[in-house]
Amino acid sequence: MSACGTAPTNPRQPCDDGHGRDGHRNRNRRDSTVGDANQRELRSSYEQIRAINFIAAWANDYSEQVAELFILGTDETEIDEAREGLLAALAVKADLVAEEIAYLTDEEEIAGEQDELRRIEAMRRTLDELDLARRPIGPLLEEGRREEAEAIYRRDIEHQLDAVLGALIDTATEIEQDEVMEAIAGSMVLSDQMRGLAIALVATAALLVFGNALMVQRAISRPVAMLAEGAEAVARGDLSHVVRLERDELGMLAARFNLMTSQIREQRDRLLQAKSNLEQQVAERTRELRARGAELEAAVTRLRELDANRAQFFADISHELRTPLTVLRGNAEVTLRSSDSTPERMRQTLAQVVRKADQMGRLVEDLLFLSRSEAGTIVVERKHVDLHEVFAEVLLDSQSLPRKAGITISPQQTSDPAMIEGDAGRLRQAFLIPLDNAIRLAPEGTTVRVELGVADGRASVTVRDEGPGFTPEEAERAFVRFFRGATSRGRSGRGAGLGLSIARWIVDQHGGTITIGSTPGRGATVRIDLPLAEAQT
Amino acid sequence: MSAPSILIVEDDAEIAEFLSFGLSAEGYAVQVEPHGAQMLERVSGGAFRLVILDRMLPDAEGVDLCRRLRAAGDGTLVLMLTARDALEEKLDGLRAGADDYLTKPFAFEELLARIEALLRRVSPPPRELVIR
Repeated sequence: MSACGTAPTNPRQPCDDGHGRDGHRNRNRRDSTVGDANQRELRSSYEQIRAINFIAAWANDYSEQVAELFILGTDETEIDEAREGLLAALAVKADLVAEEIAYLTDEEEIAGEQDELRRIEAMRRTLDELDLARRPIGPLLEEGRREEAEAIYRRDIEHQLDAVLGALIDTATEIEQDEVMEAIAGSMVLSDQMRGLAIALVATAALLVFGNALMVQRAISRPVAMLAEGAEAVARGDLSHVVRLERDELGMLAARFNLMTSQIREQRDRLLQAKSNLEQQVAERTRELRARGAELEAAVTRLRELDANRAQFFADISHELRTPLTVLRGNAEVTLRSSDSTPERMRQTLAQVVRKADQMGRLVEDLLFLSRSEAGTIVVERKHVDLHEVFAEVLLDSQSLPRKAGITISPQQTSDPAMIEGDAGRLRQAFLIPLDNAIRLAPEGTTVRVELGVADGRASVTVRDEGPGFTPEEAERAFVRFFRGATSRGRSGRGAGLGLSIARWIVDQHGGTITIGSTPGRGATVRIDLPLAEAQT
Repeated sequence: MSAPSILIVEDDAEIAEFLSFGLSAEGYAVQVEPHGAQMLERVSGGAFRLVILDRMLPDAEGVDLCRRLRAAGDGTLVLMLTARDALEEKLDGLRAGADDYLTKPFAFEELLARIEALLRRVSPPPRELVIR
C-alpha cells in the first residue's frame, strides 16, 4: 500500500504538497522575479532539494511495490509505474543540474555539479540493476519458492536501495543543504522573497524529514507485513513458519513471535503425542481384553474338561476302592457265616484280608502322592545321585514283588558312570513301577530284561517284557490315571493304573522322559531317559 | 427239586471265589464264567435259573450282554453287580432287562435275600422284549 492510503492504481508521491513535479514552471518564475545571486542560489538549491525529495519518495515507492509482491501477489504494473516515476524524477534532477552548469562560471563549482550528474547517472544505473534483479521475484513467488524470492529481495533490492541509492540521495541532499546554508550566510539583505524562500526551505526540510520517515516506514512496514503473514500462517495451522528478520526491535518482536510459534508447536506436538499415546493405549487395552476373553474361554473349556476328568477320576477311585472292599467284606462274611469253616479257610481269608489291606493302602498312598504332586507339596531333592546304586536297590526291591511263576529278571548295567542331579528315593520309586508292572503282567516262564545305560549325556533305564504288549492307542493312554490295558484287567493284581502316572511325574521333575514302545503280542518296553549331571557331560 | 443253578459272570477271581464259596455253602449249584463273551452261550436253553452279572468286564459291558440276552428272548433272571453307584447306571441296568441290581461292596446277607426273592417268582411269565 502507498504511504498515505491512496488507491493502489496511483500510489504516487504520497502527500503531494501542491507543487507537483513540474519544476520547470517554478524555474521560470524564479528567473523573472529574482535577480540577486544569493536568491537565485537559494531558489536553485530549493528546487534541487525538492527534486531529490521526489527521487527519494519514488525510490521508496518502488521498493514498496516490489515488497508488495510478497503480500498482494504478482501484479507488476505498479512496480513499473513506480520505476517510471523514479526515472522521471531523476530526469528532472538532471535537468536542474544541467541548468545550474549552464549558469555557473566557477570551474570548481561546475566540476561539483558534474559530479552531481554522475551521481544521478549512477542512480539510474542502480535502478536498472535493481529492476533487472527483482524480475525473478514474481515468477519465484508464483512457483511457491518463497524463500528464494525473499533472499533476492533482501540481497539485491533492499540492500541496494539502502546502501547505494540511499547513499547517493543522502550525498546529493547534503551538498544542496550546504549550498543553501552558504547562500543564506552570503546574503546581506533579507528581502521579502528571501523570507518567502526561507519559509519554503523550512517546508522542504520538513518534506525531507517526511521522505526519510517514508524510508523508515518501509523498514517497518515490510517486517510488520511479514509478521502479519507469519500470524496468518500460524492461524492456518502452519506451525513450521519462521519469520526471518534481523532488525533490532522488530527482530526481537519476530524472535518473540517465533518463540510463541515454537511453543504452540511444542504444545500441539505434545497434544498429538498424548492423543497417539491414548489411541495406542486404547488399542492395547482392546487387544488385552480380547486376549483375556480368549483366555477366559480357553480356561472355561479347560475347567469343563477338568470337571469331566475329575468326575471320571472320582468314579474311577470309587471303583478301585470298592473292588478290594467287596472282596474283603464278602470273603470275611462268607467265612464267618459258614459254620463249618475250616482253619485252613480261615487262614486263607485272613491272608487275603492282609493282601487287600496292603493293596488299598498302596492305592491310598498313590492317590495321596498324585494329589500332593498336583498341589506342589512333594519335595523332590536335588542331590548327586549315582544311578548304579539306585538301580541295584531297585533290583533288590524287585525280589519281594509278587510275580507269576517262572519269571526271570535279567539285569544289565553299563560300566560307565551315571551320576545325575535328583532324588534317589523318588527315582527308585519311578524305576520300580514299570518293573513291577512287567513282572506282574508278563506270562509265566518269560524273561523281564531291565537295563541301565548311558549315551549322549543321558542315562536310561529300560524295562522290556515278553508280555502281550500294548496297542498304540493303549501305549498313548498308559499314562492316564486308572488306565489299564485290556489284558491286564485281572483285578486280583495290585496296581490301580496310577503307577505310570506317578512314574511320569517323577521323571518330569528330573527333566527326563518316559516312553512306551510296544508291538501287541511281542512285549512292551518302558524307557526312562534322564539328563546326566553337568560335571559328567 | 434240585438246587437252583447260578452262573457267576465275573472277571475278578477273588470276588468270583468268595461268591462261589458262599453261595455253594447256601446250597446253590454255582458255576463261574470270567469271560463275558461266553455268557450268552452258557446261559442259553435255560441252563441256569439266575445269572450274577458283573457290569464291567474286560471284554464286554454287562448292560450290553443283558440287552442281548433279552433280545434273544431269554428270560433267565439277571442280578447285576457294579462298583459304580450312580443312579443313572442303576437305571441303565434295569432298563436293559436286569431283574435286580446291587452295588459293590455289598453285604453277603443282602445278596442272599435278593437271590431268594428273585427265585420266589414262581414260573416267570414268558417275557416280551423290554428293550426301550
